[in-house]
Amino acid sequence: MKKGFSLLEVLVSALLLNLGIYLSMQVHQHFLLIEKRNKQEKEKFLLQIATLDSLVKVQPLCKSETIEKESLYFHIEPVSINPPFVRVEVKGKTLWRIIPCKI
Amino acid sequence: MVKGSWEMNRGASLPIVLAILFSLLPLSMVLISLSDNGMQGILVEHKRFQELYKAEASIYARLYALPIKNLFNVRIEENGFWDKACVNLFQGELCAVYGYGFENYHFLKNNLELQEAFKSRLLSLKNTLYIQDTLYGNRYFERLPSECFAVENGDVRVQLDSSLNKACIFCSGDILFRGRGSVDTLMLFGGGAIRLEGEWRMRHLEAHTSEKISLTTIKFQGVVSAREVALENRTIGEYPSVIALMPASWNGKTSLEFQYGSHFIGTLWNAEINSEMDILPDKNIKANLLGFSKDWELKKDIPMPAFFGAHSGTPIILEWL
Repeated sequence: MKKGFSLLEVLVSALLLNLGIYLSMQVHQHFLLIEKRNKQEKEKFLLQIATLDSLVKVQPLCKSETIEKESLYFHIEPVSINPPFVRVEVKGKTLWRIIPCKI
Repeated sequence: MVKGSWEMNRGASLPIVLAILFSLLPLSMVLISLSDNGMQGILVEHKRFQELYKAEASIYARLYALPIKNLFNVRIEENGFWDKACVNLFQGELCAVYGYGFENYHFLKNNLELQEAFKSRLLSLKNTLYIQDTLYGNRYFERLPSECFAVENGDVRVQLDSSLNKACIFCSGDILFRGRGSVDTLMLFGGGAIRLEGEWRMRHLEAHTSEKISLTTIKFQGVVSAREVALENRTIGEYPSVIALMPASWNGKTSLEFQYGSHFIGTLWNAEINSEMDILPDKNIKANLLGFSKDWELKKDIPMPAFFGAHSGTPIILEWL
């Protein structure tokens, strides 16, 4: 019985091993990218919340406008003048809020 | 012929390599799944926030008759002096407690006026003793407890070093409440200054006067209304929620000083249009008074809540109508 590996077996093994390492690196890379994306999304989301809340404090005017704050764009649209309320939404309508406005 | 080291165990390394390769697949699936779960968490949180805002908007819309569609149903529980607007949210509900204040805004000058006013609003109400505010945990009495007593002339001074279940005092003059202990419910209606000092823990405090209210080192939750309110440092913070109601700060500016890290949920009410209210040191809680137009004041057919509860984490909105 022949002992040892043939050259072909060694090559195939090396190829598969390399393929495995390559795939694991790709998966790791993918994982890191998703983590980064999640982190960015979370930061963006928290920023949206904080900025939307801060708009309540500064109390926008009762007029239609788009304002830029913290690199985010917020669209303000009056819903009622008397009593004075506006709808503020993060552009893209993912998050909105009704708040009192200043006449 | 000299053999290489790979000749030792023929056929053994190939399955190992394959095993490594295939073991990476489920691992990668797990990692990807975990990552996506993180994103799902963000999306769920996002939806939760939006629902909270929508619930707030629903209450606003209902109270102010705003023409906004597709909001949650608001359940109004009418209890006379204090009404409650609730929206079912998540597993529980978001509620705002509000009242309608006095039609002709003025402060009561004497004990008789006080009694008449509060009796007409509180005593004429229904059977239950109080309503429980689920949002703040406060209790609002619909009728006065039997322990109430009135002092027609002069001041009231209370020095107490024991705990108290309930107390209710009408007084045309000043009220000084001093000592230590815990109080379940204390209701004070004064014509003069009200001062509470000492190591008190008050589960529900209601204090109304046309003059000044000073609270020193009192830990309380409840409602306070006066021309001038002084809450000294170390006051507030004992309980997870506090409502401080200040309808009569004609001086234009009222300041509240909180303990660092104290948690405030509640409503501040300031009569002065375009005045400011700063709450220190927590810059995250800054309350702005809304400058409403005169037209709105005159418009009688719109319900005008005298105050409105803000949910934890949201800015406190001050309103005077």
